[in-house]
Amino acid sequence: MPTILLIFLPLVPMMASVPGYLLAKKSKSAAYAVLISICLAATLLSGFLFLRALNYRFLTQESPGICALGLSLRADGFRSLYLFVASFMWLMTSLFTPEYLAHGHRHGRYIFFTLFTFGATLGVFLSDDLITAFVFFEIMSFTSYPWVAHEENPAAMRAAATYLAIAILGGMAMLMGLMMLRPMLGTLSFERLLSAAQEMPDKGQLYVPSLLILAGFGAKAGMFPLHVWLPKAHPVAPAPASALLSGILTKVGVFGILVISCRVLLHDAAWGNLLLILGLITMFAGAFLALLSVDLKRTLACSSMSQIGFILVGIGMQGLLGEHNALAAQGTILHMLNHSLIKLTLFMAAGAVYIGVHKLDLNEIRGYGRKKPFLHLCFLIGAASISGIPLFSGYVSKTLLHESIVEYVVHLQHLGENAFWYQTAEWVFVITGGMTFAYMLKLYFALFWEKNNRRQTDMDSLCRYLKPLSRFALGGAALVLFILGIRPQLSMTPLANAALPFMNAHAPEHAVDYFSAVNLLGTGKSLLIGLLLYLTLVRLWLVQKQADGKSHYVDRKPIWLDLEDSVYRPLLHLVVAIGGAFATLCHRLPEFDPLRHMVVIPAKGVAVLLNGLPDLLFFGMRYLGKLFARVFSGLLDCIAALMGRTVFAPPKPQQPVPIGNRFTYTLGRIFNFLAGIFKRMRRHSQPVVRKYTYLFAALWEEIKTNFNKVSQSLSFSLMLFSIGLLITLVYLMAR
Amino acid sequence: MLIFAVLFPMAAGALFPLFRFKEDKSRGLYVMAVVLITSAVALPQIILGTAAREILFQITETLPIAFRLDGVGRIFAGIVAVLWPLSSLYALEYMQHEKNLDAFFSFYTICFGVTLGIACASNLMTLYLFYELMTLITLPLVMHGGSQRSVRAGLKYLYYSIGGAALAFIGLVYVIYYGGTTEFAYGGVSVFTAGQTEHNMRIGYLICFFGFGVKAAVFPLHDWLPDASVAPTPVTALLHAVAVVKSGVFAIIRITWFTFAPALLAGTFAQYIPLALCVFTIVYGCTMALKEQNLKRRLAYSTVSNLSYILFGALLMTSQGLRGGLMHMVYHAVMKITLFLCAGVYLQKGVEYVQDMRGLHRAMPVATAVFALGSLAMTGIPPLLGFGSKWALAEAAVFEGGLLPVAGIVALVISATLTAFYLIIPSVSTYVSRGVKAYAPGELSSGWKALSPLLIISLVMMFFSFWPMLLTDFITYAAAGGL
Amino acid sequence: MNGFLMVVALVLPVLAGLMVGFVPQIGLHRKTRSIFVGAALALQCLIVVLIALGGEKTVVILHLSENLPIALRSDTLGVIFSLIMTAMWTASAFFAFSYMTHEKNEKTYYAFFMMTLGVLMALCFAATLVTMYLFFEAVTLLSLELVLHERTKESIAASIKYLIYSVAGATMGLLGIFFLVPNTTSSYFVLGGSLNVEALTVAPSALLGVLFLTIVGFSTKAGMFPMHGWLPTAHPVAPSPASAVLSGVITKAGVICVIRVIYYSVGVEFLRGTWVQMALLTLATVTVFMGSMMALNESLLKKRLAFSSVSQVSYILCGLFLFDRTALTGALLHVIFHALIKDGLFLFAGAVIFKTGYTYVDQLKGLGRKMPVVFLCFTILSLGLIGIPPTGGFISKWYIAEGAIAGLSHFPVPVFTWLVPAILLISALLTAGYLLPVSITGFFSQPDEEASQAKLNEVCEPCRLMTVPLIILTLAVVFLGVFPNLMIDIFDSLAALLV
Repeated sequence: MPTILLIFLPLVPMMASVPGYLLAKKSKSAAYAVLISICLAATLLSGFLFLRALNYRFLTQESPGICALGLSLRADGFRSLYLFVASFMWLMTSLFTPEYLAHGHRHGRYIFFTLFTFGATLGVFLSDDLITAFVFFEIMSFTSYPWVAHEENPAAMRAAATYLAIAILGGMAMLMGLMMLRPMLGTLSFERLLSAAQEMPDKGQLYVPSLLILAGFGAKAGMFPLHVWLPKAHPVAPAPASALLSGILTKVGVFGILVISCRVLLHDAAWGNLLLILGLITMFAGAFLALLSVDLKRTLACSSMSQIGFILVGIGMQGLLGEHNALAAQGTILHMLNHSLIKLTLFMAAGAVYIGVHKLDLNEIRGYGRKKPFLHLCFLIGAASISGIPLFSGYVSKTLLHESIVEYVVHLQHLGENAFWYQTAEWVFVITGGMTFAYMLKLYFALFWEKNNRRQTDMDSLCRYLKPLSRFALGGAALVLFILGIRPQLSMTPLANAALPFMNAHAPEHAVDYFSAVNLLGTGKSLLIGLLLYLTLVRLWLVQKQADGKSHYVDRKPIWLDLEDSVYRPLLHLVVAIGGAFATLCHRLPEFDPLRHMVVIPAKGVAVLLNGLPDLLFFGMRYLGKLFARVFSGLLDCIAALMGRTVFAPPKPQQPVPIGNRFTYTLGRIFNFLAGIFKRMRRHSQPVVRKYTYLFAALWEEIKTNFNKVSQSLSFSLMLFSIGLLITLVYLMAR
Repeated sequence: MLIFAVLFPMAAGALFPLFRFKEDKSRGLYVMAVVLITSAVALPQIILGTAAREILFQITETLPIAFRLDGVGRIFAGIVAVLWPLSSLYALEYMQHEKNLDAFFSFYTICFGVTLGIACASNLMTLYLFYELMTLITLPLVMHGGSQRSVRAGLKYLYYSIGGAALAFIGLVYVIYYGGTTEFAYGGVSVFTAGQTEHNMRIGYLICFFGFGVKAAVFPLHDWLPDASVAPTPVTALLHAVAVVKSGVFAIIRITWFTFAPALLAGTFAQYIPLALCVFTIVYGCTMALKEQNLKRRLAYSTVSNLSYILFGALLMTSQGLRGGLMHMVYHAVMKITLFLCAGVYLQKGVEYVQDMRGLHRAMPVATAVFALGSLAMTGIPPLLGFGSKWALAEAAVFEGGLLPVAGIVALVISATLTAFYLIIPSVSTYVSRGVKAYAPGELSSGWKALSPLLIISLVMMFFSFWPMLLTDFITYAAAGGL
Repeated sequence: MNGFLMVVALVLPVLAGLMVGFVPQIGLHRKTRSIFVGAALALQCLIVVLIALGGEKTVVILHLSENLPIALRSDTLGVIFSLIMTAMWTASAFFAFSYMTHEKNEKTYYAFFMMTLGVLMALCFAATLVTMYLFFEAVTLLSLELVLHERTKESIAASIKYLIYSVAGATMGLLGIFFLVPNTTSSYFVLGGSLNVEALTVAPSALLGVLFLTIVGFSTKAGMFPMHGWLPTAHPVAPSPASAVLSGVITKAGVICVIRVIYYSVGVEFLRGTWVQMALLTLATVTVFMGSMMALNESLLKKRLAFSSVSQVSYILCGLFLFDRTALTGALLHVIFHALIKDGLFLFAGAVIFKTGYTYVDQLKGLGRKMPVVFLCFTILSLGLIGIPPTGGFISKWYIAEGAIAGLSHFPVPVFTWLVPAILLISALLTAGYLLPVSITGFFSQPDEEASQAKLNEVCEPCRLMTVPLIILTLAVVFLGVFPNLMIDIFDSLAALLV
């Protein structure tokens, strides 16, 4: 098969987006037809690629010229697997969208950007060097912005702004990292990356660029410090879009982190520890937020964040376990796969609920699914597999990850070091598994068992709630999930083994017996914890009896924990304030007026100082910055203004002086002033007022008259002449 | 023939009151006739050059009053002979409404002869004689207005000039005492270089420099020039842009290069003090010009600064420096007289201050165009005149190296920028801003007699900008001491 | 043949300008004037392309003095700059044909517009320092009219300020030329500089100081920090096609002079690692940061674009002052891309002002839906300026940053090695900060009060003559972004010769 085909996989959707946009003006259905056909074609093609990759025949394609730095694409095991998953998810969501956006607005724009992001995502998965990955990654983060901003209401715009800011920040950090990495390693292509990294004399240098790149990809994956956009962006995005956002786009971030962990810093313990810690925090924080939120999609979003935490733990364990990290590697891949498919099903179920009720708050949508067996079944499969209940796909990957942690603990005890930290990690893993089960129970009972306080009857009457196309999409996704879970040996392990070479890991020596006693016991422990948490936290704390005697879900979301509003935004405003002060420092001085700025404003500054020190820190700094800026900025304008006022100032016309000339008048006033002070000091019996101005004026007149008399006389010039002669005589004599 | 060229205008001027002309026409004819004849006689000798030395009379057997045209003298005489007829034509048109014109024009023509006398002087004695005559002749011209301000300006000019002349006289005494003869010889009078008491010679040079410096408007002694701008425009244009101040500069070039040997002065305090003063005057003149709102006073200060350009070139004590100085002497004369004449045309129409110049281009298109061209040339925009002389001066200073020459170049650059500010911006605002009142096209334009000299001089300026080779070759020859 | 063509490239636009100015039949009648100007520009493009294809020739126009020729030479740098300048001039002229209909005295505008182009061509092809200085001054004087076209009070004040800054900068440049011409072996430009370091007539430290002043002087036109004051005041008052040309092209006049001084007459070895390079780098990075910060706080659209020019052109200067081959290639690339993008952005501003009269950014709410093509071009162009991969800006910024890391690795002051690339990237971030909100408010937000909502309804896409230049510019940026290899090879070979 000609290798040129690879470049078509990202390009065709991008090119198809324009007809999609134009068609949407005329007929929506035609545009959706284009969308669905493109996704179908891509799924088939990537499926075909995946089958070829299964028996190790890979396709690579170099195109050096494009974008000056050259694009190189490659479709090996892991990548074609994820091409297939991405295309499958795009197909399912595009089947679901027509009904979901039936009476929405801006279809053309939605289709255009969905197709464009589809192309970019395929591009990232296909890329064979970090620059190509960066190119498509940047396009993807920009074209996914309209998904979040689709509703155009204030909440959506604010969330979208945060999403865009973090995307750009991450992008720039990654660019900086790439630029530092390239001179160090000499190359950025995936094959040569590992060998170049191995030869590096001291690995310490690699940490800084790797951290920057981790920041870039981590931002997209929703890793702990940069996760703030995820819980806000998903509820506002349309359901199919948020399915793709949390299903596939987070995996793009993970893909990048995998490249770094398995190529640049392979089997590096320090890097593994860092990822482990970040993964644990993300996992626990996500689960905690999910447990406490009462909005359906917000819970699912926080659960995505928590599952990403699981995957990061997997990658971390890969680093720690070193050579024999087969379990961790398989666990990571399978958990990525499971999570994508689970979130597809759950978000589409949430979409179905939204279609029916146009609400997402648990109190509003309680009991919606009571008489809807199909929705019930699909949601159950999704919830069960994410909670890790045996016989469902989630159980397989969770067990593998759990096994890898246990194996590392045993390995450490073997060596005699204390494995206390990793035991706590294992406990956090189990507890978070429990919390996952708890919030899934919360959703499940709220949707399918409890009764709605007000609109239960009309909810039950809504039987024709999904069109066949959306039913097929929802059912198909749930079915695939179920098939994978039933026979893990048959379905899951071959997929994992095909993807292992990408991660430079080899297949495990002995097949893992999933249904062994110890694994079942571990899962049982976490399910028990989950049940206990549900009964205590949700039932007693979240659900409160309101005045009207009915039980209500209360929003217990902790405000202070919201990292964005408490830390990031004030920090940004501070930086902009300081930057602004510095910028005015360099630019604006013409208005600098010495009197007003040196006297009036400092007085006001003192007043501010007195009445409040805490806010002085922010406002004072900006204030002093502006004052300092006024002095130093616009250097040339300042000098020009200053010179204009002093040296080059046009001569002011001399106002007529009341008496005598200017010199005597000023001297006179000074003497009057001094006399006044002197008089006030000594209580003089009767004030003697002597006007010195007149005195000096008279004196001056007298001097002037006799000078004139002298200068008119001829003798004056003779006198001058003789003085001249005298000087020359004296000089000649003295020589 | 030189004697004729010097004495004829003086005699014709002196005889002027005898004719008692009734109407302006005949007086105009007479003046133009005298001036044209003198130029006709002088120009061929200037262009071809005559080695003859003509003695007028002998004060003592060693101190003749004699005329001889060498390279540098021919340049100065050439400027005067070419520009005098044009400004006389302009004066006739300009002075129509003034009173007692006979006295004015008689002194005006006598002054022509005196200036030629300075140019053709072959020794320091003759130069000093005509230098003194110049002061006396130009005094009534400065006071011509008769108003209290012009009388006070005249008196100030008189005090400064007499002081200067006294110092110059002391210098002359030095030269006669030590040198024996005051004959000009390129490279200094031979006896000096014999190396007797150099120290005294340098002090004598310094005194002589400050004596002639008054007319050359060097910093501490420049104050009379701006005040003298109250005189009628032909006087300020000719005397203060071409004759009076240039004779001061010419005299300093004569004493530096032709009496006190440059070899004697180079590298000593005798070079550093005057050079420092010139550099300061260059910047000082421009800053004061920027301050001035009155157009003629602004141009006067600009002359102060430009004269120090010429002195800076001459005082570099290298022939390249002298070449730069002489080039600027010629170029500045041409440029400054255009600007002064334009200012005169403006003054006739009541535009005295720079702010009033706004929106004038529709009222007097020709005058504003020439003023703009002149200001571009003064700033030194490359193809035009100013750039050539600035370039020569800077090149000479760079080859000299050393602190003061480099400071001189920086001063040149600063003064070029300031010249742009105080000349180009007013001429741009004449074209751009709205005038004090909306003028009808061509409303204030003046007669052909006033405009024709303007156009002729600007044509000369454009010609020299694009084909400077003829002039610069001769100047290089003259600077190297050629006859 | 090529020599003659260069003189024609100088004379043709000036002549066209004069004819538009003084021949009433052409000047006053709009239709014939547009055709005349369009034809002249087309001819000019043809001539410049012919010069580009022809070899390197030198022609002497006149001699100011025996060793001071005014000469033109068609070397690679001159050809690159003249091509981009003529292209931008044509785009802006076609935009101006319809934009200027609601401005007064268009005749003088087109006259000076054409004359400035002719003088710019001569500046690009200048073969000696004095010729370059001559045409540098001429560009200032002729482009003055573009700024003060509207004859309002503040536009005249802005043009006077522009004149003062440019003349001051030019004379600082002249100071350097006074020192350079006597101290270089040949008065013509020589690849890699021709300073005879042994026989310097002035102390090297003095020469370094003078060179610093010269480069700062010539960077006035490019709007570097100490001498940038005029740019944010002059550009917003000029009519949009004029400010497009002022910002996109005339700033490049400053850049080409800096390149000629550093790389063609002084040579890099004399300046490498000296305090001059450090001071210039600091100034450039300060301007890059300051420009983008000021743009961030600016709500007037054209003033924001003007500040962005200050920042982006200092980006180019930063690339130049690194004295590194990749950085120089990146700088030359950014010259091309910035000219294209900034021209487009100002034409966008012009289209918005022409159609709605809105000049402030927050007035643009919801306009994106009514003028989708114009706003889409704006978004793509601003992505280019930010440096998002498929468009051109990414490549030039990548090369400059890489050059910075490589060039500064052995720099005496260690802090520079990471500070300069960091500032470059932060300002790319800030560029996003001040450009993206414009397209976001355009596309995604609704106008709050009904008055502007009503006004919004009857707004439609500007006429073909305005949108076509904009679309061409956008396509050029994207095309050159994806297939830039031909350009990069030319620039890289030139940079190899120079550093």
